[in-house]
Amino acid sequence: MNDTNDLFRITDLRFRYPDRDIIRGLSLTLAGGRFYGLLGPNGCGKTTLLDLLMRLQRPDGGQIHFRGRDLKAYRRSELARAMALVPQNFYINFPFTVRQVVMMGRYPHLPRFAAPGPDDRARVDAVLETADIAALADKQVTALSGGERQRVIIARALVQDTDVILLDEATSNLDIRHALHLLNLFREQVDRQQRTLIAVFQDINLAAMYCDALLFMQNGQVAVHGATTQVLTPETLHGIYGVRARVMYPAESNAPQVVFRR
Amino acid sequence: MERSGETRDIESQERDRPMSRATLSVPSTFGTIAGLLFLLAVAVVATAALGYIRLPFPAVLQIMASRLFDQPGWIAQIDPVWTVVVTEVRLPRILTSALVGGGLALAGVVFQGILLNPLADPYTLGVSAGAAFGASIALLLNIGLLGVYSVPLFAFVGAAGTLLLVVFLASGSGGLSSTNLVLSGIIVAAILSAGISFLKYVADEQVGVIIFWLMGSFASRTWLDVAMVGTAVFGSLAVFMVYARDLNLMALGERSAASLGVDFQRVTLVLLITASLVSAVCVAVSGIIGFVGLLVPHMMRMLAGPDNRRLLPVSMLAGAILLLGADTLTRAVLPQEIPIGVLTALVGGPFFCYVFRRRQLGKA
Repeated sequence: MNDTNDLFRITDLRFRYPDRDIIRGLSLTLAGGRFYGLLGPNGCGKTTLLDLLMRLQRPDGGQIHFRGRDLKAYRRSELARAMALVPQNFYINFPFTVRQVVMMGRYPHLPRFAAPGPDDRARVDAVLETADIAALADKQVTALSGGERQRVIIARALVQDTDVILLDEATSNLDIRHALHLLNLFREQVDRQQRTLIAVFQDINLAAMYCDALLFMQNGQVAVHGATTQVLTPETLHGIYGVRARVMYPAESNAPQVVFRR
Repeated sequence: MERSGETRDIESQERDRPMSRATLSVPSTFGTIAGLLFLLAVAVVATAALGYIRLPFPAVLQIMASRLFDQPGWIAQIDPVWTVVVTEVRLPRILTSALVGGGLALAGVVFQGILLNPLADPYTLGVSAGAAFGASIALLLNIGLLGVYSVPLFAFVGAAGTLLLVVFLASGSGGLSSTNLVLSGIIVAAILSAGISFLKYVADEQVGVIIFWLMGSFASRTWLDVAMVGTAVFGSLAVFMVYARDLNLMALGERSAASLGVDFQRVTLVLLITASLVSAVCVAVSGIIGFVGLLVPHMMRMLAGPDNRRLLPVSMLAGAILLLGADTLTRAVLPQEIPIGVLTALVGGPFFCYVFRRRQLGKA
């Protein structure tokens, strides 16, 4: 395989907190233009892996190459134009308006002292519309509900216009209508703009509906990975989570869906 | 299996929420700053006329103009005593108090931004306690090796040393988290205030001097003080404006700020050190003046919004006007001069309670 065509090439990655190992010699190669679902039991290192991919944490060993270049060689501002992060929750103590917070996604594209131009404002307006928060544009984020705030940071990540978007359980605070709406939107980003999404999911069925490939993590390593239809099996689910389940291909859905057994 | 048809949407976005006042009318940045600048200029001239000798405003303006443009001829008809009163007595004090007010407000904005806490202030990290401790030592030992500047210098060293200690205590494998910073600030401040109590206890007849210094005063400030504070305040303003946008992003939390291109650790450290230095200089020159750094940013955030690129200059000007007003009140209006630190605490404290209570009720 050609190195530079791979988006991420991870070799023997290690990360530990003082009291325990989180990532233990993880090796993985991810191609661009696909929607990856990152799954696994609590505490298996999914969020830490996202942090390492964005260089929000320093690995204790191993290497990450991003677009053929050592991740360490990038400048922070370059990374901010290449990757966006939607965290699981966010909390803001200052009365910024929704529009101001979404506009912060344009900062990486603007020089330090520059004011946003008409293009930036148009982009923000369009995304406010898409994320269904145009009506909230001038409200303060401190006054929003959890689900509304979540849509604000998703919008902020979208205006960042990056090739890679990392979602850390980005839709778990949303009601099902908004969750599906935004996942459809992310799916479009992959299909039309060749963007790459790497998303941590708790909900295996949502992951199965949207992801091209699934990565199951266990004990700080990727235990199983591959195309969704190939790796989503009762055996995988039993091996990773220790649960009994059936995998079905319902006629109404174009993706496998898991039915759990008690 | 998906079931369609009977699904009911929970229209969370249509829940009725009152529009908050801050979003209704945000005056333009330029207008606000110009207005505050004008107000400050008027305040400087007006307060220079007030005092033990009440001077006419035109004379004050003439004296200022003649000094500003180096034209001694313009004040040939004015009593030379008036000129001395304005240029050597009142103006240094007026400008020092305005600059200290601006510096404390700037530091307040930055500390609140870094510590992600709208109720933090320049003293949260123990910087003031460190300055007070340093000054108390100088006063107690009657150290005179640097003349009148021994006390400010000791205060500054105490403040800087405290900051280093607090940052050292707070830094660990997880970096500089705001919780760790606040915690170590509280611990160090508690130790230092016990130390100050001890110094007062052993001070004997010097205790009065220490207590008076700790309560803060702008009496008998000189042009050297003005130059010192001015350098610190305008220098820090420049640094803060460079990082104002990063400070906005830091309100989103460390992960989000870093993902938007902020070098979080470095920016935190630069801002922390700069804000502590400007607070240390202010404390060294004026003693302990509380609540300006806490209240001014808070009030200005309601008026000008939380964007630090606007909030910083607006808070600086408002802080300057506020402290100049407070100092004029104690210097020229009240029958007896009250220590400025006591005045700001007496007025600012209850106001802080009000703001805090509103916050508890979820209205701020």
